[in-house]
Amino acid sequence: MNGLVDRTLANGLRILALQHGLMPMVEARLHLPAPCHTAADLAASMLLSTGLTLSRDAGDGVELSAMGDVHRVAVSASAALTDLDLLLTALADVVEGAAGDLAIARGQLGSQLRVLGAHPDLATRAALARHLFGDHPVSHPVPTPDEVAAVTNAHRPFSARGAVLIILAPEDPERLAELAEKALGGWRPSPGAPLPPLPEIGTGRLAALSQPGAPQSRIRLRAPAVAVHDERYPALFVASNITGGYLSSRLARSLREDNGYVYGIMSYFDLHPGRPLFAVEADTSAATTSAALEVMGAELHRLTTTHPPTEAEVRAARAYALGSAATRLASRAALANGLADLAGRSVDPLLLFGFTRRLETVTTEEVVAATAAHLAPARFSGVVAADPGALPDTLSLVP
Amino acid sequence: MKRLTLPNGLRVVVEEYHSAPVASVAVHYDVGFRAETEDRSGLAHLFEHLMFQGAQDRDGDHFQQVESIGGFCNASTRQDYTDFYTVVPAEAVDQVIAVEAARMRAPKITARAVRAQTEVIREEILGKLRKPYGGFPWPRLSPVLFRDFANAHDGYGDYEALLNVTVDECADFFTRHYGPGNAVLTVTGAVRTDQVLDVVHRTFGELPAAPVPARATRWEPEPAGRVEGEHVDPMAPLPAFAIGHRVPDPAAGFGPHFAFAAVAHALTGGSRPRLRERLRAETGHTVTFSARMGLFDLLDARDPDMWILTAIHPRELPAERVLAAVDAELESIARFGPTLEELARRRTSWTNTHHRAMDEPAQRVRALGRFEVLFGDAGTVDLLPGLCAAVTPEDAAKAAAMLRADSRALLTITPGAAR
Repeated sequence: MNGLVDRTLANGLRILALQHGLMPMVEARLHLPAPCHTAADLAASMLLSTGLTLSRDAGDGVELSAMGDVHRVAVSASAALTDLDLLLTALADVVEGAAGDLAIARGQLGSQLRVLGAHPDLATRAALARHLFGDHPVSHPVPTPDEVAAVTNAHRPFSARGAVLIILAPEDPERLAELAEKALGGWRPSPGAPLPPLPEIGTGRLAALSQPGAPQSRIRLRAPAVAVHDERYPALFVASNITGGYLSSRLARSLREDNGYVYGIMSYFDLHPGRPLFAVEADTSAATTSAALEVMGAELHRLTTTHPPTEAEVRAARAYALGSAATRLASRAALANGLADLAGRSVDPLLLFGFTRRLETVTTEEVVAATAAHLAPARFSGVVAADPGALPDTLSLVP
Repeated sequence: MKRLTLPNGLRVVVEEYHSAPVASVAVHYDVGFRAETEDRSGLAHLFEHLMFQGAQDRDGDHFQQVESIGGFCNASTRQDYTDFYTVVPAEAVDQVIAVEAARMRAPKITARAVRAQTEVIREEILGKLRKPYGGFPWPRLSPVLFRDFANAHDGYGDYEALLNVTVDECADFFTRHYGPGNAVLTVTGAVRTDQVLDVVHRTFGELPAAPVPARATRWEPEPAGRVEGEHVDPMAPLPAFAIGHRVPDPAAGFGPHFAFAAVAHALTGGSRPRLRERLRAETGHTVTFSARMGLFDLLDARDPDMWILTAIHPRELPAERVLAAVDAELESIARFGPTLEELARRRTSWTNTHHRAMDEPAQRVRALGRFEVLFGDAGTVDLLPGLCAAVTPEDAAKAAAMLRADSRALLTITPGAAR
């Protein structure tokens, strides 16, 4: 690809530098592997991320934020092009892993976590992860305020091995890569032990999470999918759009436009590292929960048996997927996010660029086959968080 | 940028922005939730949903028409406007313009769609309000600061009131507010201005003119003294409050609004915000603050709009203690102004944020259209960084002095759950 430099340094850092657009600003994303084996690890990693964010003021020229999860710390930074050196200095500083004033970070993160912890979404997320992955570290997605309070030392130098820097600017990418190498080439690798692989999620396992009094229920479904590099991925991607990936989809038509059961419904690829999943999610009021589940099951059944995707549906869904590659990645920040998102899921970011070519050749037969193979209602496991009275006697998607 | 008005009254803005191979189209209608009547709270929002049923003379609804050509679309209902926006691959821009013109001519409104979308809105409201700090500060702060229904009511809508909406009412709302003379069409992106205008003339240009409703003033007196409201939030883990203040009419000048925004930033923005630092030094507690000029955004509504500050604070620290810190800092800024360094930092961070936002196609087209529909000039968008940079310590001091404790709305959030 023109305007792209892809270079891996001796310390293991991969640099992807792209010439992009007109606006004289630079966007950078830094993917830092930071596997958290325990709740204490995660609390320290998130506290460090908060500290890294708080220690910079966008008023100095570089807007920088860091977000930690079980797998990684994701850093996002932007600046005017004239402040490129400042931005690279800031990133070089970040990889040292010095958290700055922990007291402020602890207060801020503690308060954020209390608010987050009160949101029924978080309990649902954790229950889903536990249901799917048992006692794997990903099942503890967010630390408690107490776990954060217990952290005494959040200093944690990051490993260059496995790290990816994505940097975009209206600028010669060779020069961008050279400057980045100068700033980050001296960073030493200090790899941490990777997390154990995620187990298979199993199929057809639906569980209820009791939330007495909840006015709205949360339906969170997952089915095993294929990886981005897999040759079946583009067809399954089109199938995802047809299922629930956009407002023209079967599930959106049926649940939203025909029945008014939901405001939003979505299907998407939930790409856990090494364990790609297909997700279907919707929120619906307590009174419509049973009906919505029934409609979801019936639509998935129709889609995978009696009423497979039609030629017209495939054409529209493919057009939408191709168009989205342009519209959703048009701004420099959005493109940087798209690339970094793949890096964060242990997928080669450059697969983003080849994707439109792979989509163009997808046939209706392939989409029908992918749909039937992957999206039958019996393949979904998941959690329905609801008031117990809102649920049907038997929790099942299979009609 | 090219701006013109068609004979039927439609204002058109076209701007070429050749950064990515996409085009964006927005239609801003000069009607928002402040135009609703007391018995139909939420009608503007419901009508926004109904416009996605598409046009009478076309197959499929609006989503299907836009998505099948590779685009995405959405809409929002604010105080004084409703905007519909679409981003598509550049080669599909003609089709989107035609689709927008078709639904401006004759939208497909059926009784079935009215019912279904009323249910969809009920789900939308549940999702937005029934969560910790849902509806905080909007829409719960508005009825504390304002008395007049137009300004005070909840623009999401009242499900019970919407249950009785008829197709005839919708048709009437459409006739009154959705004519070309009451709208702005904005097209931006990798387009050729002459080609766009050609298509606009052949599509929107064919729509008949319609009477334009007279613009109602929404002004009402400022609160005398401190007016208070309380909301018990059963899901909130910590107490919180929001204060709202009236600000001068933006039509009289944008400068003061940037000065109010600079005060908000000095109090709560950057890595060492005044309020957090003061309370930490004085009490050892961390309070989460946020402040902004504008109920939704800076320069996003006509008069009256509000300046907002919110705080989520520990139970050990009473709201009045936190408010005292707010007033102490406001007094300090009113007397001495923010420092030049504070203003410089604010300028840098705001300008960078603005440029990044304007690189996002949907945000760019929406900003251009919004400045055209609200203030009569899309070109203002390019002047905003200059206005931000022009704020002096004296301007900010003057703004801070207007945020008086004796003319303020205070909304307190009391955690309802026993913890």
